[in-house]
Parts: sequence; C-alpha cells; structure tokens
Amino acid sequence: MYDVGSKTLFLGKKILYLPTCHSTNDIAAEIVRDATYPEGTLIITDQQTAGRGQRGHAWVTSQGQNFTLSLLLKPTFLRPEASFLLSQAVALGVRNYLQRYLKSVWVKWPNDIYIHDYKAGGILIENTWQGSRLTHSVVGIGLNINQSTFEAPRATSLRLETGQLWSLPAELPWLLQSLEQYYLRLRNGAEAAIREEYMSCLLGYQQARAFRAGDEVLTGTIVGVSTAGRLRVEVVPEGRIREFEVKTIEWIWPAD
Amino acid sequence: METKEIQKLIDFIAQSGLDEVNIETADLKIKVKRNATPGVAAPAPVASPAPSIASPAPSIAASATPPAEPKPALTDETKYLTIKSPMIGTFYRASSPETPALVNIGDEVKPGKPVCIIEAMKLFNEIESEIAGRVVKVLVENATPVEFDQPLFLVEPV
Repeated sequence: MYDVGSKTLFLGKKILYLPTCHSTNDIAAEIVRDATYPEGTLIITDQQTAGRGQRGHAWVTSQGQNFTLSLLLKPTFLRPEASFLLSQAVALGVRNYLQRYLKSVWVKWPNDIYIHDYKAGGILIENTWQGSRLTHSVVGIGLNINQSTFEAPRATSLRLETGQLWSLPAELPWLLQSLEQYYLRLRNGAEAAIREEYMSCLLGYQQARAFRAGDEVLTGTIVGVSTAGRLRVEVVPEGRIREFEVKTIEWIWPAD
Repeated sequence: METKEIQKLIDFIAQSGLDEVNIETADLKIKVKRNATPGVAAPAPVASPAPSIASPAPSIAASATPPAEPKPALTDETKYLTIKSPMIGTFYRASSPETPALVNIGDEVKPGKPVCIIEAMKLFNEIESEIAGRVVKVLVENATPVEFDQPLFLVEPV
C-alpha cells in the first residue's frame, strides 16, 4: 500500500504497515533493537486505538483518514542539551510538507503544527539515552489530512483547508522527503539555520497574546525560544522577560 | 610492565576523569577503580567530583606494588554508584501514569535497563542504566524537576 519510491535516501525505505495498532510509537519501541529494522524504518497505521500525545493526553484520529506514523531514527550525534533541535527539525519538516499546498502554516511552541489558528498535527518524540549518549529516537507524527469533522475545538485538516480529498499513499513520499531533508540538515550541524527557520514560523512570535500561567492571566509578547526550548515571553506591562516550561503556560485564544 | 610504568598509567587515569579502567595483556591484568563516588546530596555539584582523598587511591590487582598508604576508612555510601540525569527536565519513574515504576528499591539493574523517564519540552527521554548493581535508593521524587548531572539513583554494585 505504501511505498516511498526514490523520494528519500533512507526514511521509509522499510515500512511496517499495520491496519490497526495501539500506538505506532509503542510498536517502534518494541522493534528498536531488532537489526532487521534499520534507521529510517516507518511504522504506519490506519487505526490507532491508544494513541498518545503529551504525557497522559490521548491523540484521537479517525480511521484511515490521517497520517498516524512513527519513524525510527538514530541521532547519536545529538547532545542532551541540544535535543530540542530534533523537535524543531521534525516540526519544520512537517510544516514544509504542508507548505506545498498551503501558505499559513505555523509551528505552535513547542512543536504542534497549525494552519492559521487551528491545529493540524502533533509530534511525540521518545528518546533513549545511555548516560548522555542518545541511542535512538522514535518520532511519532499525527497529521490531519482528510478528516472533516472534529470533536476537539480548534482542529483542522489539509482537506478542510484545501477543499479536496488527498491520497495518503501518494502524499506519504512527499512528507517523508521533507522530514528527511530537515533531519539531514540537523545531522550536518545546521543548528543555527534550524533555530532561525523555527523562529520564522513560530505562531504568535512578536505578537501580544493572552496566556494563562498557573492561576495567573497575563498578556505578553513571545520574544524567543531558549536553546533548551523554553518559551520566552516579555510580560506586559512590566516589560520583564519570563521563560516558561511546556506545562506552565497555556494560550488564551480570542473568542471565535 | 614495570612499576614505574604502572605509576605513570595510574597518574594518567587519575587525570582522565575515568572512574574505572581495566587493562589486560598477555602477561598481566590491571583493574583501576576510582573511589570517589560523588555525594548523594541533591542538587548535584556542577564541578567535577573532587575526590575527598588526595590521590585517588586506586586499588591494583595483580601488581607487585601495594598502595603507598592504606586507604582511609570509607563510609558505606562511597561504595555506591549513582545514575545521573543527562539533562534538565522532569523526572518520572514510570513510562506513563498507568504503568508501574521502571525500577524499585531492591531491583537489579544492568547496562541497557531503562530506569526512568525525563521529560523535557515534550521530548520523552528514557534513561538507561550504564552500570550494573542493585538499586538501594531513589534520590528524586516522582514528577519533580531535575538538573543536569543530578544523581537519580544510588546503586550498590553486585
């Protein structure tokens, strides 16, 4: 069903297609030490029964309509303090793929994929370290392609944004090609270029927005993202720059 | 190998920061181990673990030269090894809220055994042990922040 042809060098050269599975990331974690599954192996499913998002959060997707996949990578070159770059590179790879068809594609910090102000995809990366040596990474990607109705608010798909249905087998090679391109940049040490491009498509960058930080509601401007990946917000009115961890800050969207 | 050469080798290892070195040739086998397990207290000191013993008092197997001075008496804890955090993040003892802890006190670990998860910016980092032994103490509370190099587990070599 799925074949990437000659569009990539190593991503998706080996494909494990499962009509249904609990979580492609879990399957990837099981086969990671099996030498028959080299770096770049793709695990892809039509139906994920126990998809995971952020710790304790589920990722819900409709059967056969969207990309639900995991990639097995071995970024052994990545230092612990630079590991956020992998997250950035993967997000840019997904975004760059959508940019083939759409203009307003953004990365919402830290690594969600947004079209305008609506979420189209999520990324869940699981790394394994031996001490400070990264041995392998499982990169899980959920990307809404043909789904047209959502229970969750503020969600969208490629179909909703373009008004047409897409063939998943025809699109997969383009998605993997884009991901590979960014992964190879990372491997070649283009750290500054990745950080720069990430900032260029960061949702809300340099805009005043409302946030919830714990019990506190604040207005601030996103002024950057630290090397470790923390969001830097210049809080109005005092003008002080504060750094936030993932779960310590939440967006307050303007009423639709 | 001559005594002088062994002395040079030990000096070299002492300066290298390596904790343990095993050398084996046709006619000799040398095992040098540094007795400088860093303290247990968290947060971990960022500086290199300055050994409390002036020279790293290596114990030499199969060598004719005994250590110049007898080793000072060591407290029990110095024989323990630590598993440290390779990064800043949030420490979790289990892979997910529904699953049991990856290791508990009394469990044996060996290189490659997953011991905890450190979540950093939505990246889930499974940390594997690099050492073998028995877990005697978990030094960090579940779901709390950890610093780079902070000791997480105390392990008794077996």
